[in-house]
Amino acid sequence: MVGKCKISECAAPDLPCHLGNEDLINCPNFVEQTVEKKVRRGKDVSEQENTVIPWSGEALFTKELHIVSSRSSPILFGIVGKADAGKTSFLGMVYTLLLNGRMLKGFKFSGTRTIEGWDQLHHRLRLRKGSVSFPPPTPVSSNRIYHLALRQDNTLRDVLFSDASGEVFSTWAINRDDDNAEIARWVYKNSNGFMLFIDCEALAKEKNVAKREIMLIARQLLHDLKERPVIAVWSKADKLPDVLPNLKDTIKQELKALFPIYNKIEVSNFLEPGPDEIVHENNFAVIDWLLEKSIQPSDLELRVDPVLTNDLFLNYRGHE
Amino acid sequence: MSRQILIIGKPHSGKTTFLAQLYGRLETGVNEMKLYESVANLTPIIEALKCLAAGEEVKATPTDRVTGIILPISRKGEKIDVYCPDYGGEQINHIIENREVSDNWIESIMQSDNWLLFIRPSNVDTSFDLSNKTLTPESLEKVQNQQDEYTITDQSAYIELLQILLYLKGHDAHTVNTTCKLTIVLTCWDEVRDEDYPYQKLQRILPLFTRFIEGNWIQENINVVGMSALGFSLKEGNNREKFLTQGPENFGYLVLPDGSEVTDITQLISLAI
Repeated sequence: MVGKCKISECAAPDLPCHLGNEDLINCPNFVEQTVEKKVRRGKDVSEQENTVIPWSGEALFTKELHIVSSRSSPILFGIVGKADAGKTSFLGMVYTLLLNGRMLKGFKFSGTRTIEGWDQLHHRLRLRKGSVSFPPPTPVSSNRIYHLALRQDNTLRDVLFSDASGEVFSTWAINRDDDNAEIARWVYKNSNGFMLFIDCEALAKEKNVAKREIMLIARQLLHDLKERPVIAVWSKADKLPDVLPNLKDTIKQELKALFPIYNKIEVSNFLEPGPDEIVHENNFAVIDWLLEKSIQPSDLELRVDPVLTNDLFLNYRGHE
Repeated sequence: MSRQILIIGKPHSGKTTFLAQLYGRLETGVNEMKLYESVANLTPIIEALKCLAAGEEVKATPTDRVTGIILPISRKGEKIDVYCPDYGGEQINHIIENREVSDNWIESIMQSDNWLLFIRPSNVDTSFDLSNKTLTPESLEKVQNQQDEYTITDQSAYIELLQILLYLKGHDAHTVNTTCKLTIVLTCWDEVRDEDYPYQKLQRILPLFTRFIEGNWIQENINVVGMSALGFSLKEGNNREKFLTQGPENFGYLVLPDGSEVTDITQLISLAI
């Protein structure tokens, strides 16, 4: 069925209805798209022959990645962490900072195939001094992928950020082969680097219970990590002073010991007047570091051994 | 064979007023630029020409009109067609919102390597600013009680528009654009006039959009100018009188990239080439 759910977080019809309706026609939030809707704007416009743009501007589903991967091999960063750890808000803040003209180190902004997706994240980010209203939770069945096209010198780099629900990572952390952890497996398999979100607010409230969940995810990240970088993102860092010092130190030590290519950083959406390091600088520093570790300049020079033969075909070197 | 300058702009960005003022200048024949033949169809700007002659503000163009207009200009023997395929601007919104482009527009994009993008700074929404994201308790309560309706920000809309136009032009995203020249015209400059040069103004009101054009065009192919096609608001009686007695073609100015001001708005065409 063609159409769209009124709830922007629901990925139906591409994925099952978030309310569990098997037939979308029974879902009160689903709006079926009709031919009339397609031509709803001015008759003069719709009477003409139109070419449809091959990307929607919204966040990509995994089956749509060819929109980007057909032109380059994108770099994917997996955003990993339990539910409500601030993963989606982080992306919203990144785009808000971009809209304000801030830029990633060493890169020029060349565009994005998911501009409406980013723009919606920005729209949903609600800040006020002293508290933050977070966007609605990411649906369990959803893996939204956001794209940035960045230019480094004269090279185009397509960078993707996967924003999957925290629940799938919690499930995956316990059993990586769980039927309900397919999205987490996809993110783990395909990512070039990871942001591991550590929710300071949860640590302050739930103490060792929250630590246990973080470390389960962290240990699962390790099983086939190879040389992929991991950065621990201490989110809602304005609540860090409320976290027990020994708990904080233990987590820091354990994570550092776990990952071969590792860094840590504190971020927050809590806004103070004027330049604010954990809001402005560190949100970008997370991506700066992952990009730096993921894009390794190749020192290798391709050496071609001389071909010692009289064969004209094998000796051909083009127009030298 | 003539070169084609394509005028692009959302509704109410000042395209019609500029075209009417440009036509008025060309008609006098005293400028470096002239019409090399009569305009086939003046319908899109005739009302604007009448309004300006009477010292009245140009009425907003009905946005459902998709008629185009071509001004055939000669400059030192060179033929330049200034083409605005959609002077109402509604098709621009249609492209962004419905993600469909008419054949008429595709043809225009393909034929032109010189784009004039009209942006009216006083109409640009700057809600992206972090300071605007900081809500007071009262405004937060108000926001929470409202239906949270989403509309795309102006910055994202302009970026997407140019992305789509580049895609339709067949531009290879791996390379920076060296063939197509982009001139951004900040219109109704008298509404936002201050110490800023036009480029600074663009950076201030649309920072990410500015980054986007810097990331996709070579610097030599980007121009940012300010323009007040009328020179001042016609809401004041004195100003209306000036138009009525001296003729609208004697007013209006252009702020060049270096900040200098010229009264000959036909120079915009030279800059765009």
